[in-house]
Amino acid sequence: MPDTQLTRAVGSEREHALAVAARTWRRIGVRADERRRLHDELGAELAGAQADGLPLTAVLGEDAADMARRWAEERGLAWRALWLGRLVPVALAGVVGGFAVTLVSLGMDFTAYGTGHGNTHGALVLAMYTTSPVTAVLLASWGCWAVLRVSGDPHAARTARWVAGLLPAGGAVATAAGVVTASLSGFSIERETFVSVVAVVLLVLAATLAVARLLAVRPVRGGN
Amino acid sequence: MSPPVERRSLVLRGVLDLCLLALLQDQPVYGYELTERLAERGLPVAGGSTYPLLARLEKAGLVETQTRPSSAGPPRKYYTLSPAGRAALESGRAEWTEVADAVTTLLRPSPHSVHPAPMPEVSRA
Repeated sequence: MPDTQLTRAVGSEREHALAVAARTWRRIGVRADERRRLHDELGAELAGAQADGLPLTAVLGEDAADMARRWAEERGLAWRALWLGRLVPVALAGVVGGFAVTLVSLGMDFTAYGTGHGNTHGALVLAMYTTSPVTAVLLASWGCWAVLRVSGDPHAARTARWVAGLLPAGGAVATAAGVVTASLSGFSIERETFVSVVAVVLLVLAATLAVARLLAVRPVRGGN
Repeated sequence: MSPPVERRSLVLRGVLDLCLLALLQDQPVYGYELTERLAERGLPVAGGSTYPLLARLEKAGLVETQTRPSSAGPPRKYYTLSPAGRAALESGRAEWTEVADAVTTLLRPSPHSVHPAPMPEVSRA
C-alpha cells in the first residue's frame, strides 16, 4: 500500500476508535468540555501508539467502548451531564399533567363566564388547587427519575429528590417572574406578552432543574 | 477449579496497581509502555486495562503526570510515582510478601501427601 493510503487508513482507524469513544462518553453523561479533553488525550495516545508501529488495541484493548467507559468512570467524569434536553421536557410534561384538571376547569369556567353556566363547586375548586401542585411536583420528579433510570444514570433517584425539593420554590419564583413580566406589558393580551411570560417561566423552571441536577451529581466527599 | 490462565489473570488483576507502581518507581513511563513492560516480565494484561487503572492511581494521588515532547508522534503523557505512591508501594509490597509467603507455605507439598497413609479400620466389635 502506498504511504499516503497507509496514512489515510491509519488515521481513519483512529478516527473510528475516537468516534466509538465519543459515543460512549456521551451515553454515560460525560460533559461536553470533559468529552473534548478526553478526546484530545485519547487521540494523542492513539497517535503515539501508531507512530510506534503498535496497533490501537495496545491502548484500547479489544473493546474500545469498554475502555472509554472505564477510563471516564475512573476519572469521576461519568454521569455528570446536566441533560437538560431530557429533563426539561419531561418535568414540564409532569407539571402540565399535574395542573391539567385545574387548567381545564379554569378554561371551562372562563368560557362559561357571563353566560351563567359556570357551576364549579367551591370545595372542588379548593381541592383541585391544593392537589394540583403536589401532583405536578410528583409527576415531574417521577418523570425525571424515569428518564434518567432508562439511561442507566446512577444519580436518577438523587436527581428526582432534588427536583421534588426545589420545584415548589422554582414554581413560585417562575410564577412571580411571569406576573412581573406580564405587568411590564400592562397585562395586555397581546401575543408578545404571552410569549415573553411563557419564556420567562420556562427559563426559571429550566434553571431550577439545572440547579437540582447540579446538586444531585456533585461529587460526594469520599465518593466519586 | 479455574484453569491456570484464568487464575493467573485473577491474581494479576488483584495486584496490577502494585505492579504499575513498581514499574514507575525508577523512571517515568508512558501509558502503553507499561503494558509492554508487564508483558516482558511474563505478566500480560489487556491493553485497555492500563489506562483506567492509571486514571484511578492519578485520582488517588499515587502517580503524577507530565507531558513531554516525543521524537515520533505527538507529545506523550509520562507517569511518575508521587511520594504517596511510593508509600503505597512500600505498604503494598509488605502486604503482598506476607500473603505470598502464607500461600507458598500452604501449597508446599506435604511429605505425607505422596503416599497417604491408609485410613485406620474402625472396629465394629
